[in-house]
Amino acid sequence: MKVGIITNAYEVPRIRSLVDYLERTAKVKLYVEEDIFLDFQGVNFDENVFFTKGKGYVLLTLARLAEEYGKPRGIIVVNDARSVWIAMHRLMHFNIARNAGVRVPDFALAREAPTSFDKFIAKNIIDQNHLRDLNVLPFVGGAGSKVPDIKTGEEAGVGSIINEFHLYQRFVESEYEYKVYGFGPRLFFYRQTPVLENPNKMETRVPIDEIPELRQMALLAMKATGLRVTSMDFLCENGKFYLTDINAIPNFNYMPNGPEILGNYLLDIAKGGGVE
Amino acid sequence: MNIAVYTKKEKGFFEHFRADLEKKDHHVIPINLLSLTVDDKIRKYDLVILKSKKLFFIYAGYLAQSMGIPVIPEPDITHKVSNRIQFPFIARIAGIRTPNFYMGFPETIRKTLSETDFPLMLKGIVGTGSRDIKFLRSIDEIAGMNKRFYYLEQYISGLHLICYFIENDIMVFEKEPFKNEHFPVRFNSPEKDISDAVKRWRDATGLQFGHLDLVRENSTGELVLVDPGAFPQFTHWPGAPERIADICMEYHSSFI
Repeated sequence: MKVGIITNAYEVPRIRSLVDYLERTAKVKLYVEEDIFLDFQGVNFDENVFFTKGKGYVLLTLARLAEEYGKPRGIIVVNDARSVWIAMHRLMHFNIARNAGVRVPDFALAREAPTSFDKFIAKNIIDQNHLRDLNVLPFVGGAGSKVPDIKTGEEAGVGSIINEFHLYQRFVESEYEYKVYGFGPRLFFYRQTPVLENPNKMETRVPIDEIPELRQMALLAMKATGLRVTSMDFLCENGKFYLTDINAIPNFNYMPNGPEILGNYLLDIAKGGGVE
Repeated sequence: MNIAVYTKKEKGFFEHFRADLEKKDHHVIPINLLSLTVDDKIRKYDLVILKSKKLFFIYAGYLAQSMGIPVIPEPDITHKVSNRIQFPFIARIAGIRTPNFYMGFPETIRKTLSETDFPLMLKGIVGTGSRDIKFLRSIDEIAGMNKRFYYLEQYISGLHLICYFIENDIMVFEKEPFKNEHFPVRFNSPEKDISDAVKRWRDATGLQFGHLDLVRENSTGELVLVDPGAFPQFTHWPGAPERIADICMEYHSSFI
């Protein structure tokens, strides 16, 4: 059994626990973005399953090639390049999830916050590690607040006007933040103080019983985006849940037995099962 | 009818296109980056036209589409066609050769490539005409470039052709290498392999109009697709704006 993990140098220490678990029963090959020389017409794979843990363009192109070459053999890439792309483009995942029937806060891509948002949170348009300008974001503001310019990903093009755009989301007032981890059909539910109030999210995170509405929303969002492994953030305002973020590369180490749960899911797929 | 056209330019093609639609009593709203907001207000439009492949415009296309508004060209295809790491996969389906390309981080590229691998073309992953393209003769030319990662494309030596298509009609022009479609070009009658490639491209993408930048390789005579586009300026095709306007209106009619 061979498992390919397509990742980057930042994630390598974070996947160590997963690699250790997988290596008990499988051969694991790491494709690390910084070390990959991608030759579009010269790649070959013999893995039984792939796991993508990263969002860079070199890495995603390799994941797309693995999908292409693996397709005739029924090889699955978890998560495939398309679903990771959707997750990292916030407007895309909001739009796709909402279209699938999942409640999301009102959102807009603009140079200024919509006047209809009394209070907003501004986020980066494309969520990639090197674009997380923590000096600026997340930015919570109200009518008339001006969010400083920040760089957007290469895909958006160049020019100073591009940096004036942000993804604005209506601020959802919620006592707690809800986190749902998804590994195929298996979901795990947690609750914590909102990160804006306490950035040390693990300090307040506790496991909670399954909430049927959250389960339904999470599964709909996973199906619509194509993500097989994910973590999703929800807020609850006036008794209504809102999906506020979808993460294609969740840190499974935050869950007890996270590496084992993910490892078993990948091995199950490698054996030809686990496909819902 | 309210027609939103997401466009970078309001001269040339757009002037004629707009005039033709307005002659037919439609209200045309050009949207550029200065006037752009992508939000639910997009539902006030009856038809959305993606004249430009800018990512933010493509977002608007996806949003409009999810609200049941007809969008032409189709946003997903516009995105894939304009992205250099996506279109080779479509070209494979269409059976059209594309140049090989390499990607990697600076250190890995420097360690792996040798002088014999050159010349190569340095490009961005999203095409911006000829502006972002650099012709690299040796590994030394990479030194000093401050890029996060490189996309390097095999250089194809040959005759550069720009091929426009509108439905079944094709126009082919010779053009100067590394110049965009607005530079002087020479008309070339379409050869059978070009017509066949265009047909396969249309079948693979569903595009009713567009363009293919092709190179006829000197050493093999083969056609190589170096840059496709979903909505060119059709600079050298008289009457194109009016024809495209008709196609957009027909698409709207078929949609509802």
